Amino acid sequence: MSAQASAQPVNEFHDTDREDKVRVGTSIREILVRLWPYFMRRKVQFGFSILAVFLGAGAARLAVVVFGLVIDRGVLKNDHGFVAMAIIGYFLLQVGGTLMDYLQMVVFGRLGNRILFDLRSELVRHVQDLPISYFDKTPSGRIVTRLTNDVVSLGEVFTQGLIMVFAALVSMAAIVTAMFAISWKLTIATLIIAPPIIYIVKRLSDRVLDALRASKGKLAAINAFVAENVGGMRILQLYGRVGRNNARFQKLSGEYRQDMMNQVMAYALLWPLVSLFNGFSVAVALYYGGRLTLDGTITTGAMVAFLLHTRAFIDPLHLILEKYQVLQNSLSGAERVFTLQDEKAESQEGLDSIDRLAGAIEFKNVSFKYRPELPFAIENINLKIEPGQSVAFVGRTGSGKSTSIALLQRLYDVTEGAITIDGKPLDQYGRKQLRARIGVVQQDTFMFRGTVSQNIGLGDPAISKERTLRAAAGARLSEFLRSHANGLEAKVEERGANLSFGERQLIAFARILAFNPDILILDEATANIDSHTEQLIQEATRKVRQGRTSLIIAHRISTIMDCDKIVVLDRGHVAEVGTHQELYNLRGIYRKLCDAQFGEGKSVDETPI
Amino acid sequence: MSNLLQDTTLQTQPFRYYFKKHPRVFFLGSLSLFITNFLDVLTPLGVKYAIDAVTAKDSTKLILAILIYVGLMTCVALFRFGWRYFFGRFHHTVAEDLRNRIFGKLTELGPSFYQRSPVGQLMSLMTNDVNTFRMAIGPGMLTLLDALFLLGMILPIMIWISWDWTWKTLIFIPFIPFIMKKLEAAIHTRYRKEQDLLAEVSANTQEIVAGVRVIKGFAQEQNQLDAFNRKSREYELACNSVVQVDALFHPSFQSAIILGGVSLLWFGTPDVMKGTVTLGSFVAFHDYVRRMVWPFSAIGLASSMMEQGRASFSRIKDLLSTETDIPDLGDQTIEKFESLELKNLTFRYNGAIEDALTDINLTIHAGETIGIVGPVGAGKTTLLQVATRMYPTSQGSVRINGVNIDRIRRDSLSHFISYVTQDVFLFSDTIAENVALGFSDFPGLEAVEEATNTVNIDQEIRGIPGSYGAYLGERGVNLSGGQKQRLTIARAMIRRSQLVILDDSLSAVDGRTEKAITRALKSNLAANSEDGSTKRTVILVSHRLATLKHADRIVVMNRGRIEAIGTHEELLTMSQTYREMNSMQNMAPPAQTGSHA
Repeated sequence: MSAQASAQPVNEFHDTDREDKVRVGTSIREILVRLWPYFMRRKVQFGFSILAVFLGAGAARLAVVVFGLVIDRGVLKNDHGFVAMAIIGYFLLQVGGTLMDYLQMVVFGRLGNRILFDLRSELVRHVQDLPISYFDKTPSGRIVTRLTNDVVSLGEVFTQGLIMVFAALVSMAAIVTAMFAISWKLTIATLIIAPPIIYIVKRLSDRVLDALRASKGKLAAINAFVAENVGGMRILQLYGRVGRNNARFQKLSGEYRQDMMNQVMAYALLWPLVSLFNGFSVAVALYYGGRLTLDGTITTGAMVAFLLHTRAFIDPLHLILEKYQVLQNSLSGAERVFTLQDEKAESQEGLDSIDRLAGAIEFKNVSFKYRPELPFAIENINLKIEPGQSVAFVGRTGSGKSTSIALLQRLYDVTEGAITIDGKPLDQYGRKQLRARIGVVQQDTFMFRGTVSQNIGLGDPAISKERTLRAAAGARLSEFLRSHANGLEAKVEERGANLSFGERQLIAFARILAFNPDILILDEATANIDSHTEQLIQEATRKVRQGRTSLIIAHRISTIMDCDKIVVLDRGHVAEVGTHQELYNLRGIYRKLCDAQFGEGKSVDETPI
Repeated sequence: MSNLLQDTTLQTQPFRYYFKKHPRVFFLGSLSLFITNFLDVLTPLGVKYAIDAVTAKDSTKLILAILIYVGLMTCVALFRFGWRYFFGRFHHTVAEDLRNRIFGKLTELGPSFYQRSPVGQLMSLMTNDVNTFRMAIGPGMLTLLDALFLLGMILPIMIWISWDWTWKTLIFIPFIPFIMKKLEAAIHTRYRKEQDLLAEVSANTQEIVAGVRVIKGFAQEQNQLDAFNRKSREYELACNSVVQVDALFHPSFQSAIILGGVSLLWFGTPDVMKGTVTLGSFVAFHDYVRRMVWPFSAIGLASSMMEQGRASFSRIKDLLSTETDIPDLGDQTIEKFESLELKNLTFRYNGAIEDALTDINLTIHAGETIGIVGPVGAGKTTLLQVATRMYPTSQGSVRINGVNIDRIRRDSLSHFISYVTQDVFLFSDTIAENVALGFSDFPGLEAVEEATNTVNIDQEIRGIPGSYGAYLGERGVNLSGGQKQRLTIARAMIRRSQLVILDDSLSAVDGRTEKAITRALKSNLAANSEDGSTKRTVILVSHRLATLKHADRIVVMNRGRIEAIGTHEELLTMSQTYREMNSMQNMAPPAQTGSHA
């Protein structure tokens, strides 16, 4: 289990590569339905930006109407007074419209950012509450991508997509209305080629989208390839693989260029087509509008205004096409975010607070399966542990040691039977409250970026500076820290890369001393420690075991000989229970393990169990 | 080396370098752009003649004007396609070239470079910086040309219609590039801040997900969420500040159009009323005023794109001009390994305050098995890395067969040495490909199986769905730590190299497998070698003395120095450190607990 837990950061980009090829099932409508409640939390801002859109579009059209009136009533009738009035009106309308555009963008942009904040916060809370089984089956890279890239691309819906498309639609509607007001015949004649053009444009933008998706996938593949090769560059150089991987990269890079070119081609067809369409519309408006003006059906000013309206059609059209792609892009992001949101979290019911546990643990006929279709990982375990006892679990890989411990932490829930602590079944304790009282030292301790002291106290405000210091001293960290200039404030890099295995282990012990849990779980490290460090760790182990019930997943006999009880697990069953001496004399599985480790001239810590 | 001359042009004048490298597409792109603009600028004149025809009540002239207009629009569409296509080819080819250069450079650089350059930074160079430079040399360049062409064409037409109107309407426009530049600069710094904060938010998320077991284990969910929200809130504010500036772009050129339009109405209408200028010209002029806004704002945009491109390129240049500390300049090859000699070797990592290795003297002869022990930080791995030239030697020397290691070609080195590093690194490729990593052509499944058999993992691999064809990594199967380690040993075993180095590679391997591996290592290389007497040379680093016990010599290291060299028995008497280690590891339990010994 812990082998899976220490997920390798080899390939965090590959999964996007795969998933981008999946066609998206979510529609823009679904996004809107899903995000509606977030909008509703901020009705005023939302309502204001919608209002600004309408006012802006209206003002822009009225300005054109005024321009037409200037020609008809002013220029052609030589009415200077009217021209002056109209110009002032024109100016005010334009300024007002522009102001509305600005406000709409700012207000809606802020609204979007707020909603994204809410969304991120909810997602992080949700992810932390997901059951550990979710993390077992989902690569960490994929979850991180959901929380970052996918939320960002969903965010583009707000920051650039939604409001602009809405505004563009409103202004197109306003344009058509204004055109109809001048002459419905002329409007129909002008827009008659719109449907086939819109159809072709739609087809082309789908092509653009395909090209976009393909190039995104390829870019992800390039990223994955680079990340991995940089990570393993030493191996590539040592094993003479550099030339071949250079060739592979160049192939990927060329394919990416080709994908980008497909995109360029699709755009190169799309935009000229759109402006050509507009050109034809203007031509029709000129010809037919000119005829109508010659007939005297409409005035010259109206015809000019009509032309200006027609020409104004292209901007919102452009914008919708452009944003259509952004929106499509966000769809896949949104879908993945929503899938994560729908993932079922661990139930949180149970006691609200636990003061202190005495630490009496009992397993009563406990059986557990990881999934219903799998065989039992442990079956019918019965075990009683008194407060303060040290109990070691030994057995081969897959014998159920880690599983039993995970059940105690309520990382999983038992399939059958019950585990009790201080006589109370586990499900009566809340998961978080229970875990707060159980401390765990893992085989390879996870380190957060930050400082050593942050890693001891985990940023918990309840852990004071002095407590951290005492804990560090207790875990004999001081000797290691002396070599770092900043002591406890020494920087810890990502995953503790700048710390040795032994240092990480000792920090984990200090964590326990700082948090002072009632029950300790210690998953013993397998190897990689020199004798001196080993000695320090042994000392720290003894120290953290004091005064609390301790469960140890052991890999070396030498470290557990003084335990109160040793539980030998074999294929999910308890095979033997007793002290070292008792079990040794029993000449069973435990004896064989001892012989394997001490016999054959091998040293004590030779064979991992 | 052969491209040295070209490379200097690239590094000093990247734009010129690429224009010269792809002259055809660049020229055709610019030409199409020029023609597009030329024709496009004429279209309002078509409208002008149509309107004048309407006011003059001349329908034949109207039809003619419209035909001209439609003809112009069609040609514009064609040439528009042309410049998009040619320019696209130009800048995407440039980006490809840069990517390949960067990757090629990365494969030359050694661990000392990677230690100071985080993966994320290199990735960003490869994608973001290359893209920013592409935007500068492609769309940025294009925008600049577009602006210049348009200015050169529209202005004369406007002046031809009316000089008086021209200056009165355009007087507001020169402020635009100035404002644009200010806005661009403001948005650039704000956007940078936003991106930095986004990176922090991402890093925070990454930590939360990766450390979820610890967070759950210590019930730290709320504290983590609070800390996350603080970061997230900062990011939100940074996003808002970007939005505020971003929303100013449109209004700022809009305002120039508005002022120009109002000015035209104010000063133009009297002329039209007097009849000195036609109504058609008035409408066309209105259109030109609108069109003049773009070239002016384009100059501002293009110049900031160029600036960003230049900044990105200087980062790319820094990488491309990084000299590797382990250049592959040697001309010697090693056919048969005879000896590895470390002489007075002292080594210090870049920026470190202490030597990692001090005065190391050690000669390893072909066929020997050498064990290395010592506490963490004793310099064991450093010694191996310097001996295999992952790092350069500064003081003292490393010689193979008496030849200084700098003078040996890298492919030759990697041919006769198989170094299994301490950190297990598998690639997200098939199991078979991972084992056969050290071959340029796949050596066949049989060879792979033979190697995996030696490390006792063949059966386990067959149990995996997909067997040897199964993919490793996050999208494929997950192996246990022990399995991974054995695969990396198989990766070395398959190569039958003359010198095999195992850097603590047996730590997660069980006793039986360890024996099988040591047996295979000690077996003759004869199967693959003409010389029957060839024995493999093996260097073993381990914390377990039992693993090293049978080595010909054991090197005890401490604090970067060699403390003692000798056989197990010799060291028991010679070395205090070794004796302590031995007694600690030999606390046999029956003896200690007594009763049944």
